[in-house]
Amino acid sequence: MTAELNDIAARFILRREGDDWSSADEAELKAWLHESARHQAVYWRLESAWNFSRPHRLLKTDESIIRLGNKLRRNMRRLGIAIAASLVPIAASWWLIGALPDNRLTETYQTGVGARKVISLPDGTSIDMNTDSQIDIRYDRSNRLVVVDRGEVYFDVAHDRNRPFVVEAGDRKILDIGTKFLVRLDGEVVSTAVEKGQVRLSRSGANPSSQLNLMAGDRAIANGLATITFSNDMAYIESALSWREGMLRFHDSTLAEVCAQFNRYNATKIHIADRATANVRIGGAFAAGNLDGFLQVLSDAYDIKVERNLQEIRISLR
Amino acid sequence: MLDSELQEWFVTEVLPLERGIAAYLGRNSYQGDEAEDLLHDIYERAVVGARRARPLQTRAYLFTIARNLLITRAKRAKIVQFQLISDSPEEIDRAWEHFDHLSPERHVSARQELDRFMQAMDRLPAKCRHVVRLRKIEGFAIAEIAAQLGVSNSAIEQHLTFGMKSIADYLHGGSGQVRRKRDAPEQTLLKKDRK
Repeated sequence: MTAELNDIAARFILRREGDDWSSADEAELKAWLHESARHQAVYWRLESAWNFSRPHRLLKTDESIIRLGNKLRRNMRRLGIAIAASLVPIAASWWLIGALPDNRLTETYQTGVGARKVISLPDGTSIDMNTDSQIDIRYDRSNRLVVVDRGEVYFDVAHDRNRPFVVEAGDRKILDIGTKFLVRLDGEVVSTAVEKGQVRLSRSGANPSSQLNLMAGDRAIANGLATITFSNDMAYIESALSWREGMLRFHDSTLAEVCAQFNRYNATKIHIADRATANVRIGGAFAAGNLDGFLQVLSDAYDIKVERNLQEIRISLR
Repeated sequence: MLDSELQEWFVTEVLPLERGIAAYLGRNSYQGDEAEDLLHDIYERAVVGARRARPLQTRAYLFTIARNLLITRAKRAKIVQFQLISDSPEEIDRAWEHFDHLSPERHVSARQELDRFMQAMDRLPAKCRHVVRLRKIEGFAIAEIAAQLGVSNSAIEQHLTFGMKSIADYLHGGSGQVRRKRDAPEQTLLKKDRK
């Protein structure tokens, strides 16, 4: 009896993750859940395990991710197999001159607001995309290029002496020298933070002598001609990376900064009523999607008034 | 409680007790499908009751439900199990607490939960694990996975369903080993009588 219910619930959960889940499907699920508390328990039990944690669940790991390039890659893979099967000698000679198409990769990835995405690339590099981001991956035989179109992206690069790894964000280029680093594009402002290893930061078209080497713990904020660097700022970098575990961490930050972070992850935006409220300093760790929990803490612990309507949330000192 | 609160309560307070409840049912010789059905009988009652008011002490609340359920069953079977009467509530409670302490992951970070999920995945059969990986980690759609592996959508769904159940079993304190089909029941005479 429970076994059958488990199967039904599992199918609901799988279908619900898919693209063609409609409001009629949602209604069907609601009705099934309301049929009995047993249905609810079975469904909640499976769903909580499948989405493995509350913070991650709120971040909707898989939803609202648009994949544009996969078909291309798959077709190329198939093409490769077809060639290998029918034209072995020619394929072999391609191999000898090192021109197999497998090294090549062209893909675009996006994440929606509140979503996250981890991408593992065939060269061993892993890319972790934060909320509302888009990147283009362009690999060829001699170069690995990733263009950050918008948002925030963490790179854990598998070093390859023969194929340099370059990130382009706005007018800046970041050359990897065996590294884990974070790149964020905010309008024209490019922020780079190095967690491990070393990167070389340069501006498109600028004199090579203006290149900057950033080491682990360093970060740089670049805007047009200006670049500001901070050294040995590992504490900042660690909290800047906390989104990778679905959390936002703050240490003695102003409410203005904190709310700006929450607004990146949530569709309903927080508006701060006045300067006094904006300057309140807080610290702590919150699940990025748990806006309600955050507002509750604000009102309980900081004596801040929270007013909300459908469009926005307004906060002010009581 | 509202449904959303109810779900939150169920996931954060009830599910972490599953290992303890399963151990308690095991002590009273319930195993396999029967134990699974009983576990969900307990959950069902817990949810129905909590809808009216949020229980103050979830563990004590769940325990009372479990115990009453076992006693009702034993009465219906007209066979009172030795274990059930010999254990005083305090003793059972203590035993349960013991199992409870065996689950240090009651309050874990997101990272740890992710690690646990990975451990649960490692225990899946190879093919199932591969499909779950493609869906959960790589984010491929079911149809995409089916096309890639050259099998039907429903075959992929079957792997995912099985994977989901095993992962739930592991994460909520079990061994992560779900039987693919209902086993031929290895029931004792005593249990047959009870049914």
